[in-house]
Amino acid sequence: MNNVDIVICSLPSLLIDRVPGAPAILKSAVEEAGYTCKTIDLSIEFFINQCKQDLGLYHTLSSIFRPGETSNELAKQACKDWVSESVDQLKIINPSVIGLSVFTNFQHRATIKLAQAIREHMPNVKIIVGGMGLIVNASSLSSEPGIKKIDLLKPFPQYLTEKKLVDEVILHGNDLTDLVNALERIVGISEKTKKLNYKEDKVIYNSPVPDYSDYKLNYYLWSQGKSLPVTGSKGCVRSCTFCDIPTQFGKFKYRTGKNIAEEIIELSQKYNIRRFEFTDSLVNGSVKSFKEWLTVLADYNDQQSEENKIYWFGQYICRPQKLTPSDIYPLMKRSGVLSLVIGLESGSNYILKSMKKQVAVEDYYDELEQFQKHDIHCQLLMLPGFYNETWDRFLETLECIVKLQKYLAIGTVDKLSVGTPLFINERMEITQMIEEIGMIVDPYDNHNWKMKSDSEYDYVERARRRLIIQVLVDKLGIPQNYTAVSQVITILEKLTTYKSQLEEKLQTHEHK
Amino acid sequence: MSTNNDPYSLDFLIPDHILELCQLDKFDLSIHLVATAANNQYPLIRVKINDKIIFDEQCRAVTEIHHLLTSKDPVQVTVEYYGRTDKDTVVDSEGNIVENQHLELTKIVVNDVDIVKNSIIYNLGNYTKNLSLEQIQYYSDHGIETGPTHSLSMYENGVWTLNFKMPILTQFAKFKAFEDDTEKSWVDNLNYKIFNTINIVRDLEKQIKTNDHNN
Repeated sequence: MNNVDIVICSLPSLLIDRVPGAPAILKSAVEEAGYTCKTIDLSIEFFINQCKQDLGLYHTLSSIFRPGETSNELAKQACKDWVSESVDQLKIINPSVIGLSVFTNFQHRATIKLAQAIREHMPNVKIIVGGMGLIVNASSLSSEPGIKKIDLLKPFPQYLTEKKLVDEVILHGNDLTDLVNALERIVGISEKTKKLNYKEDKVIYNSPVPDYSDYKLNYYLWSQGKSLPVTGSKGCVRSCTFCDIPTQFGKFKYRTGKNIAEEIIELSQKYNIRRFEFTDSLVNGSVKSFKEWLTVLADYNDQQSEENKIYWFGQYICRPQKLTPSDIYPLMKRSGVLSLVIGLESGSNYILKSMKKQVAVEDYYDELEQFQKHDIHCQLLMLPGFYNETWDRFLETLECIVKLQKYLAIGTVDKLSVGTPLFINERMEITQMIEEIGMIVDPYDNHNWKMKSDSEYDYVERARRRLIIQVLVDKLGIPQNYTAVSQVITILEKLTTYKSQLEEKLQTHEHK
Repeated sequence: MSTNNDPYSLDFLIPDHILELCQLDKFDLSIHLVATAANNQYPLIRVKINDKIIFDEQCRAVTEIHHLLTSKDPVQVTVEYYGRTDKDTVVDSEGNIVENQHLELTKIVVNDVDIVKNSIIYNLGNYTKNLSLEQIQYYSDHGIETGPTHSLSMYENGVWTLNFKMPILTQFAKFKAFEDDTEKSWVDNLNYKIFNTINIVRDLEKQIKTNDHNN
């Protein structure tokens, strides 16, 4: 006899200054449908048990889970211990079904290791996987021992099913109803169970209030205070050619502003947490809904003491000023905006146009002036190494970074995060244009592409330009975030691998 | 091309015109002062940059001081209020102050950044009053701090000292940098390692090409 119908697990390695949102929403939905559910964040368990809550150790040991990274013996042992302790915990919970939440490809290696152990030690338990990390291929496994090169090109769910590691795969779309349908098949239907009524496929959809009651909220590394995730929309109103959000989520869908604001207020009162992180690709996709929830939160905050006010942060798109209501800035401030993450991408208008950003560099400066005026902070993201980045266009990006320094100096921009040079995945619109633009992509390495028109613009050249950007931002005292640091490390690793390949090739030549 | 003693410095990779745009040695100062008179006497103010006097006169109600210089070395700016006497505080028969000469630092802009509005000034220095023993006693008796403060209102003779490091905006950006404990720290000489690897890779590619050509 099982104790619960399903346990939903988050997997390492996740960021440890935020809680994973999906299991909490799924738990609410599953329980509303009449099934019993537990959630467990096995990423924070790894941080607590194997890393002894030491951040440095977490970064080192979680290399065993990160895509393509090689690890030392300490990390391998930590992973073995994590698998063993996770199975022990799951045995105590004793579920009929284990749901593994695969958020990104950073959870692929953990998914495999844990699923193998569950199969071995809990053979009667069914395994379901779901999450955004399922829509990418298995290239994250490149450093796993014994992996075949051909397997790296397979969609990750295909790899899992071929290896008989999972029983059900829930691909993104209608997660809540699909999970309940899977439980109906595996656990069965009783008089307690019922169908859900969440219209996840409509433009305006609703969602249950997440249940964080199983979370160990005190163990996350809250450098800025506890916060909870909120999802107000799915997808994006743009179709930027380098982005895979439209393919992942389909048409843009959103919740009403009232629905979003009510959830935030309810969660803040239930968990005594005042900070909320929007997981949306953009908080202002629907300006109407955005204004609605901003207004409700602003009015709520006006009636609260300082310590009870609600604050929020999330991703945001820049629009030209003529398309941005002027009252949105004071409203954002009153509603408790802490920081906005905005994709600036490039300092070249030519590149922005080919990215289909529908915005010019000047529009970003206008927005920053408004942010400065209303004391709103933001972080900017840049994407170097676009397919049509000539040297002159690259220089325009450097000039833009120099201009941005002023906004960093006054604190309007908190951080500038320069990403890794453009890589190609099959869900980006750019993959539909490969023939047209004359791009040649290495099927085994999506960072390694060339243009027919410019053979010198290869990965090494893009890495060199990324390095120049890094030297400039360091010179200007511009802080970088964790992701940017990680990505530069990845560049070094890729270059080192390429160097070894060339050395080998040269040796072979000389041998002949 | 910049020169740098750091053997790992890669500043030479930054194109010259981009480095010029950075204006790393520019120090463009604008000080906006608002003065209040007593007995029709406005405060006497002396402003120095690196001990060189750029302004030394009686303030008007509103005074703006501009100065532009280029420097690679740190820059010290002092705003000194001097010559104030007891006569510059006028009291009525009941001891209430009716006129009190003083100076307000309302706006200081350096390289287009208002360091007062953005609170950067508090990272740069402080206001040290020049008090007589009698005044120190008076303040102490009334529980008022006599040491350096961050008050932008100068009611006593004294000096606001501001210590700038060059490049200015880089110094400000570091003050404002949002530091997050959970973020990974930079790896030592990472940039240099990438630079070095790129050079090796290009060299190997050349060797392979030459071999191919010879074969």
